[in-house]
Amino acid sequence: MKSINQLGFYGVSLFVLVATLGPILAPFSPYEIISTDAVSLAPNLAGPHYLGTDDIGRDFLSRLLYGARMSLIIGLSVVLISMSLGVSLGIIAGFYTRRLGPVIMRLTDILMSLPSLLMAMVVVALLGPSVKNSILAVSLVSIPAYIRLLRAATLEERAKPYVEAGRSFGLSDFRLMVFHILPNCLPVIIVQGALGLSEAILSIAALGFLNLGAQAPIPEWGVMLSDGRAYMETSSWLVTLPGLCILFVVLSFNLFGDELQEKI
Amino acid sequence: MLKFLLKRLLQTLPTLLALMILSFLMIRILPGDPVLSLLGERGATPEAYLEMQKALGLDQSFVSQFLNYSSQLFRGDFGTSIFTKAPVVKEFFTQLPATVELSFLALLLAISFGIPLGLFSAYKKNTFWDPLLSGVSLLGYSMPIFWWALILILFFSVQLGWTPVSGRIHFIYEIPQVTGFYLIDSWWSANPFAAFWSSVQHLILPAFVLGTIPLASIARFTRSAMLESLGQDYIRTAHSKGLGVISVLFKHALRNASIPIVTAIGLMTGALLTGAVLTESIFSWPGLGRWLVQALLARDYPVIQGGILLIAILIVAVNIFVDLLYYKINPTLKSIESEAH
Repeated sequence: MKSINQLGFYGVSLFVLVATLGPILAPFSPYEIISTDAVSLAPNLAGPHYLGTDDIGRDFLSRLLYGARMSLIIGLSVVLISMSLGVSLGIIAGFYTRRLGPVIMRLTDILMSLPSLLMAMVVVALLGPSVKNSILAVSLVSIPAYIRLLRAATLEERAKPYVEAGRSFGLSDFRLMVFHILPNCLPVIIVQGALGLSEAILSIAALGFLNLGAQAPIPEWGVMLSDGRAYMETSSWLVTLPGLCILFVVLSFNLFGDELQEKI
Repeated sequence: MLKFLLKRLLQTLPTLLALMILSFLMIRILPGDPVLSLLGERGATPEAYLEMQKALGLDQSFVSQFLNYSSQLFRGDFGTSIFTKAPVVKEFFTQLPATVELSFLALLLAISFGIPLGLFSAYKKNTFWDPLLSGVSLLGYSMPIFWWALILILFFSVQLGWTPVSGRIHFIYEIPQVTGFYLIDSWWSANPFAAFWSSVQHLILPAFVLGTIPLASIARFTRSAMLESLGQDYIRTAHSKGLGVISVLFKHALRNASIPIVTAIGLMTGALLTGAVLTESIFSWPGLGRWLVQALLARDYPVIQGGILLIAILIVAVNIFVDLLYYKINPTLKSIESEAH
């Protein structure tokens, strides 16, 4: 089991590397229409289009590579936004259990009254489909998971002697929360971050696929999948490859998250 | 029992109320003019503008808009679609059976394969089977199902020609509306066997796609619940009494692992509904998910507003039903209540 879980770490590293170096590795521009002689060229290991071209003649490998970068940027933004808001609200909810806590938890209940992807779809559709808005929407629906975890963790930490000791030294609530409770909750936050990243990448791709996220011609895996769908009988690589990329990344982050959970 | 039910209903009331307010504010606090975005810059003649404003209920003051909205809701009026001109409630109930039929079959597939898979994995803990099966379940759990659906269509429909690509039934069969479930209604049609077979063929691929993630998570839950219960003292006792492997596994271990497994299954309503949105869109399955996506893409505000409220109510109703079932099978809940009396 150990060896399988370690694959997660390697998968994540590979993804981050490809996403960072994408523009250097990509042989062509992801937007430029390069091949006009055929509708879509099949993958050809001899080059120059190693993974073929898409339906309007753009180099598919380059688009996939830029797509990796897109997914990483979007995923990280979602995790950063939802984590910072969710963690702060969760610690506050766990710390002030009398007044603020219940208010925060009721708001969380509302966000959770619809399944998260459904809620994100509604938010994006109302704000207008774009990369920025899908980041906002997916961040919003990812907050409750952090709030609930951190509230539970804070409730546990708050009862421990070190908090009481800190209080008896006259530390302010803010100091207690930020410098004492937060560091002790870090393991939970890190694990949820890894799982949150995989969920975010999957949700963003699903939104793109439904035309409710990134819009063409942006090289985003979900959008590419939905574009390629019309040609899947004749040019199956337009569908198989972007999906394999999504699956690979999501699987890697899930394995990585499992591994972290076991270690921490 | 009744007290339990009432308590659960009261608990969900604030959430539903808040969601009602949220769905009201939704189209009113957003930047931009919903009337203009619906009509487009060119279609917005003054007459068309006023008419659309009236259709959306945006022509009155804020307070009277809200009073109208809530009084309509309490009378069971969830608005009227801008495009089809049909009441949202009616559309909801027309689409509901298709989604229920699909989700039910997906869950059935997930349970009947997921539990044995998890059981086997836990039983074979120290062999190569366990990491293999756990790997496969994690693969299923991470699956982008919109891609999975396309791959299966490519293989089973395009390559092999075994299953149709979309829809609920072949168009030559006329299905009478009795229950709304085609697997049942087809028996009232002119050609029962052929119609039933056609609806099974249409159902099998979407149900498998929708069931993939639940199947994987049920397998994962069953494995961990079984590992826990297999480590207990009573299992060792049962073994030392000379009971057979099957008997220990099913009568002793699985029975005690069943409560966490049932809990996990009960929590799957949301996942099924999310999956249904994607699955239905791909297979052109005329259910709630596709209905909502179409409304979102067309910015049919009344359908979005009413639709998400109705879907939230549906989820609450299913969750309460699951809680009641849970209350029935878990004896400890009853004893807690009787102690409280």
